[in-house]
Amino acid sequence: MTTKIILRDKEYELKAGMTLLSSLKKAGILPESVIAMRDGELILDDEILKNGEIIKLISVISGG
Amino acid sequence: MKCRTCGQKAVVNMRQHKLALCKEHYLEWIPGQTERFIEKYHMFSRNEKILVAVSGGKDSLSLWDILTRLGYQADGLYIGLGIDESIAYSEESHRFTLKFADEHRLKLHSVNVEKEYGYSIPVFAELSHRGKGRPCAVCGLTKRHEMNRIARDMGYDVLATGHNLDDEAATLFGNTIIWSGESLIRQSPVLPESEGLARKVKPLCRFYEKEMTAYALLRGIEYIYEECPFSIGSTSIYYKQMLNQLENERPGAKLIFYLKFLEARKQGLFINSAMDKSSLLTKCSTCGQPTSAEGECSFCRMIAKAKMPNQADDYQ
Repeated sequence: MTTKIILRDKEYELKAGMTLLSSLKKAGILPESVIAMRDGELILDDEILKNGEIIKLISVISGG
Repeated sequence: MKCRTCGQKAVVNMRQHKLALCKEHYLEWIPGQTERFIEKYHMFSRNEKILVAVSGGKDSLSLWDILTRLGYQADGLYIGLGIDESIAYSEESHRFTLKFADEHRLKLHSVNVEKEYGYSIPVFAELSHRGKGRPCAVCGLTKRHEMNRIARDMGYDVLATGHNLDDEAATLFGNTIIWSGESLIRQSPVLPESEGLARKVKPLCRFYEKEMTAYALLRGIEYIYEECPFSIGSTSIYYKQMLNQLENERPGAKLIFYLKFLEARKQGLFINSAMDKSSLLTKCSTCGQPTSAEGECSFCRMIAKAKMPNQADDYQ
């Protein structure tokens, strides 16, 4: 019962059934710094992550 | 979470505004707010010609998209920096910019620093010994010089950049911890035109970086996702991450930090530092742009230093 979160070249395997917010905290990712996508759709912090799914995170911070 | 406007499923939640919106209403809200900021800060009118500095990134391409949707006359300016060593960063960012301009049938001016001045930004940085191993100072100097030169030479009324609130808050934080009065007084959504200097505006200065990313993704704007290889580990990114920690605990902290600064600035808190050098600007003896230095401006001195024969030989 796991969910996979991918941010750039890093993958995090987490327990399914938690909210996105809890999953990000568990992975040590600051929610303010990413946008989460499920099958190309944006999802919010209160979304429950399901078993077997892959969530892609888009980093929002750019430098320069 | 539901959209405040229609009750459908929300895709963006802005905790600082206590506002969640669905895709359709978010894509309406961002241009509407941009229009509000353009008017509030008296940035420009529909009769004026705008030059948008586009880098191929999410902010500048979104700005170009928003301005043209709002019916402004906005052309693009891409500056090719030649940062193509570890990854083809400049090449890719140019490709995204060209694609956007082409698909939207917009006019794009492209300048290539290496073709124009002989060397790419990383080489100029090495030759001129500026920036402690990072070309960021040379890059900023060159972009400011070229943006102003082209805006003036091509008769644009105003130069627009895609700085978002996180960019502004990080700059503000950096200037505040060293109490740089001169820098603080120059930080504003609008810098009015003056002799030799084009008016500069930042229409996205009140949107969080996360909001601009969401706009680009929802609008389907393809942008360069890779970071500039030289920005990794930079101070500005460090400040952004730090401010995001604060924002996470205290929603709205970044916005208040920036807005309260603008208010203080308007009330004249930094006025003494401003009495300053703007009245002492002279014309650069080489390019004619305003400078606080005597003789040549920093950009022309950098070019001259890089082109000294004993240095340039190494890069032939």
